[in-house]
Amino acid sequence: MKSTVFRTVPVVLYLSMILLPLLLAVDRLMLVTGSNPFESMYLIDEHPFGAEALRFTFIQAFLSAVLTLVIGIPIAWWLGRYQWRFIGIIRAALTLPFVTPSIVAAMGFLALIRKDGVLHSIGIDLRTETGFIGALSSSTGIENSGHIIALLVAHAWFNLALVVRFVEPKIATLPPRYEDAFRMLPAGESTLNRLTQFWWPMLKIPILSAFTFTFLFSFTSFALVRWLAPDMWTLEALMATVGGSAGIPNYRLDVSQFVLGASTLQAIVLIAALSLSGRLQQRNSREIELVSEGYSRTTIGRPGLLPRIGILFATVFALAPLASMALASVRIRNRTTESYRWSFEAWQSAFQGDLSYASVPEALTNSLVYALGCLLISCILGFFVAHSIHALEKQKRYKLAQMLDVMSMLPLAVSGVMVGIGVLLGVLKIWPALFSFYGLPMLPHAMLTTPFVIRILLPAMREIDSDYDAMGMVLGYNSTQRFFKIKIPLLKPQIVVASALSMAFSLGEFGASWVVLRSGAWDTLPILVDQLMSRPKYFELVTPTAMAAATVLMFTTFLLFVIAERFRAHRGGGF
Amino acid sequence: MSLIVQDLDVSFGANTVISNLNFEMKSGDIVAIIGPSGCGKTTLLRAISGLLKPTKGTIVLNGKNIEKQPCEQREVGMLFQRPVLFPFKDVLGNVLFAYKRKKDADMDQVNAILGELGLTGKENQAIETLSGGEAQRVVLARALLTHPRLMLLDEPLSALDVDLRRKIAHEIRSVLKARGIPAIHVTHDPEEAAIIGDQVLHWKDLQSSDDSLNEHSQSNTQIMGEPSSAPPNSITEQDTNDD
Amino acid sequence: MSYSDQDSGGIGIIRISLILSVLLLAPLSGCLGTIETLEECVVSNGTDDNQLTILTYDSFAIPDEVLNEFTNQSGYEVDIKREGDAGSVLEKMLLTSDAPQADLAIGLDNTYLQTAQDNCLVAPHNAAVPDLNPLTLVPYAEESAVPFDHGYICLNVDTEALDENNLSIPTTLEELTDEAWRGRTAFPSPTTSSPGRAFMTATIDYFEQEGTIDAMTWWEDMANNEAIFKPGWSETYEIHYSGGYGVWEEGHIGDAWLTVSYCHSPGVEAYYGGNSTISMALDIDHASFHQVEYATKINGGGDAPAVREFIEFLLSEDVNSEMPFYNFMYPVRDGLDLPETDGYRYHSPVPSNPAEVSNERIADEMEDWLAAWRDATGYL
Repeated sequence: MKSTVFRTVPVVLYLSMILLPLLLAVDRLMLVTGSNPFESMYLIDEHPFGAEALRFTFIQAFLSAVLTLVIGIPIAWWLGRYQWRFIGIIRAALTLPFVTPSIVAAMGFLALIRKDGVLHSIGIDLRTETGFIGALSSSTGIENSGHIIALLVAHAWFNLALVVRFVEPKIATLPPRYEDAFRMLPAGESTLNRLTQFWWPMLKIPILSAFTFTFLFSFTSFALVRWLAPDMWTLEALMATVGGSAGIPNYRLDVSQFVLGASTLQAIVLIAALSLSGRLQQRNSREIELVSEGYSRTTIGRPGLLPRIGILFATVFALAPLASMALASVRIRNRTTESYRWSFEAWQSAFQGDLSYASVPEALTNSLVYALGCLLISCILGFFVAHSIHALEKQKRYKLAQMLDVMSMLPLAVSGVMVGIGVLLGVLKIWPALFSFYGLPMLPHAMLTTPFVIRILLPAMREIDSDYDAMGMVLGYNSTQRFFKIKIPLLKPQIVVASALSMAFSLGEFGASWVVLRSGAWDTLPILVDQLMSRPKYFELVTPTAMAAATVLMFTTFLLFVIAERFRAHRGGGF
Repeated sequence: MSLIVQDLDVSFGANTVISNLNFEMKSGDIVAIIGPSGCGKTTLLRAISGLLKPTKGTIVLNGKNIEKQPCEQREVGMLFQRPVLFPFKDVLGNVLFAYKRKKDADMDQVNAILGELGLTGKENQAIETLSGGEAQRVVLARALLTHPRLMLLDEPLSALDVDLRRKIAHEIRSVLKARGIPAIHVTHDPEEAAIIGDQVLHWKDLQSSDDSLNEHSQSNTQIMGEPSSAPPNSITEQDTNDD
Repeated sequence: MSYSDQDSGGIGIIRISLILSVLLLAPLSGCLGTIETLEECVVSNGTDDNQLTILTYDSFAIPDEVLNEFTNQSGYEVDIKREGDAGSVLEKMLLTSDAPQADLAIGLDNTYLQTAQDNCLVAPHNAAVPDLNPLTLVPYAEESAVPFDHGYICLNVDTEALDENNLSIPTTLEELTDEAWRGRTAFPSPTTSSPGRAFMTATIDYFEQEGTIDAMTWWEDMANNEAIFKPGWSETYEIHYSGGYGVWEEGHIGDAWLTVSYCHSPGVEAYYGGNSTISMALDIDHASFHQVEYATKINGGGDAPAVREFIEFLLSEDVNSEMPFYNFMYPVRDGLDLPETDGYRYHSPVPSNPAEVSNERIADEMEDWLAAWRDATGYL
């Protein structure tokens, strides 16, 4: 009976905490608009900006994914084929963007393209659109092409690690004799043939997977759109901006209608992309024989000049926005002349909270408390939901297990802003007092991370050899003792990964927080950065102060990953 | 020690693995059972250990019905085909799993057994670094430290090469005999069975789903403690077990 | 089947709980249906928790020291909840009208106040109000809201750009539809921006006074003249306006020589720019809007004495005189003005004839104006 309670309580908690707010929000929007989600989807273009947002969302996500591949594939190729001396450091540098909070990425790119920034000084002007960007703007007739380019490049920067992580191992572990054998054949004589008939079939699944994920992330990207392309609307950005007016009876019905329709459409696109990537992953698991990386690399040898330049460029590309951001926090314009000075005034202002309600230490404390809370909720809840699903599978109750499994994945089809609006509309009406509860931000964060925790833990649980449990029983341990002494330690690597991800995600979470908690003395660090940056910037310290806060957020996140990497004593997949 | 298995049936859904098995064992002997892979030997051991629940039948250990008792209360030891060691502990940590609480550990005894099995000096080694033979020795050490009433050996040496298999088979017999722990050893290897077992039985003689054979097997699968009273159908190319 | 899974006959409970959770939705969605506008306002008081909860917008920045001073004086802790802008403050009040989450709202202006009153969101504050600048009492002078700062919204131009392009300073709105201004004006959308809303309201009055064309015709002409429309003030002022601090900022485009901001924005530019600015506010009759921002006691909120004391604190000479720095707005107390320092006041003209549109009219017609504006400009 005890174990039944153990299995039922988390499932009920999960359903009521993670799913209920979303369902209630949908219910409320349906009530206010009088139309169902699918009808609303067809009415998106009735909102003055709906059609444009819809179009731009798809176009930018597609272009971002293409650009990511264009930049990422050569890097993955060079990295995978040759022997590199500092491969660990290169890999870490290339992974950095992917774990960077989105608001930090946005600040990084703003710093990179600023007037005294690196790009501007080498003649690439994404700001006022002179030079070749300006020429591009006027020749294509696309307004603000500099902004769009900045957004696409930032998305590519953000998702570069995905391509490298998906494609590189495939190249690095493919036995060189396959390629040698193919070269001998008539079909393999030309480079083009080798590309189309050998490498493409070999690499298409990881490439398509990377494409799908990049599309997905760019589709729902918010902080980067908000800051790099402020003139453009995506569905996510538009929902965030107008979402506050949704769900109020007899008030801005067009907004409620739009939010309902856009959420439905986003959910459908996300589900489609997720199931596509799931299917690709399954095909990918039918592996051909692999060799160790080292062997393959040694056979091909050291890189030539072009790969060296390429990898150097990639590493600089990965680090430049972050470095620019850190520099921008100490580079302050002078009031009267067009000159700059180096100073830590902005850091002082950030730590004293001169320009905002919360100071950096306060916001950091809030962020850490929420991250810890999110970790506890999502890891404990996620663990037990995964446990329940696995227990059902062991009892061969596959139907029920599958139902729970699907339900546990549903929140993955929801973007940050959608969760934010969900909490706003779902919780507010039932339990308004929650909006005075300091812990509230943990809810949207846990809603977003719990499905990931389940996705990490469930396969690991399935993989655990049942002999371990059997041995525990034979040794006389009861179920509780086996749980704590055997199961938990066996899952430790995955638990550490899940914890680090939950914490890092919560630390950097922007969309949901932006909608839910731009209030009170409980600003998180990403929200503080956004608030500082949103201030009228008459005063010269405003931007550098925002950059300083973003730099603190960046270092906190990286520190967390380093600690997690240390903790992860053995086994387990990488991040 | 006595063990009586009566009218044992085990089936998984429509698939009957053991049907009407009868089996009795007295005194501190080691019984080896030979049978081909997949015949149900492992299932029998799992039923005796409590890792699975028989569909029908009784299991009596030392005069007490245990078939309803949870596995963890049966006080039996077991070695699986593959050595089951917990990857998150080193050798000593795995051995100390014999004690539910660390403070209960009798370190003198632990060290003695480690010494006896040639594991001294490897206490702090990570388990990934052990060879197959060493790993199974660690499992054996751990099992012995729980002072089992009965040891179940489920082809523990099948993954090892011939020489090593022979060597460890002798070790197993020796440590069990030294402590007077009775054991059931199942294997498909007659040589291994001959080394470890006091008695060697053939699986096909223990169990038959054919009703006509039932009476026959029932009356003839009594395994008596004394080698001299070995039943006629127990294979006895046995018994040169002087380590 | 192993024993560990034996006692799980109750796994059916999971199934039951699934069904229960779904069933739970039904009654809850039922209670969502009860939000409706009250016909007559019933003034109510929430619970007193000896903590003053203030609902305001992001950019309202009273420093911690000042809030602490209030806490020391009055004994009330202050908790500040913030929304993106005044419109969001109103929306939060509407959303939580059944169970208000704050006691005092700061920042509703004269374009929103009437809607708040119509929905019974505000209640009399009973604070002792000092003598205020009479102009701030023109839009509203009753008990449910008290002005704490004010300012004028008008057009700002980049004088340097006008010089360079041989353009004279505009004296009418009609001029802006000339070819010379094609693509050179930037307006925040009235749908999503308070200054945008205020300026659009002013244009209604401007063209009614002129009696020539309808305001929406002018907006349509502006759209045809490639006026830049953006969601908020920060986009138009910071990214597109060439005469402001935006030139220093990331993502600046600077293609607009004219935009909507406060008449005293050039003053703020000068103050932070070492008494120098190229930006200038236009004093065109009826083309500026007098914005008064209010402190309002939230109907259903608690801690009435704290609300009263905070309003008095906000209007005290020490605090109110700092509004030009805390909130970049004029103080409301009679006799207080913008500071002279570094050209703050010098560069901040006070419009002689701002637009005259009543709060009631704004509340009644705003939705129609916005819809017409969206039609005219094709923008959100």
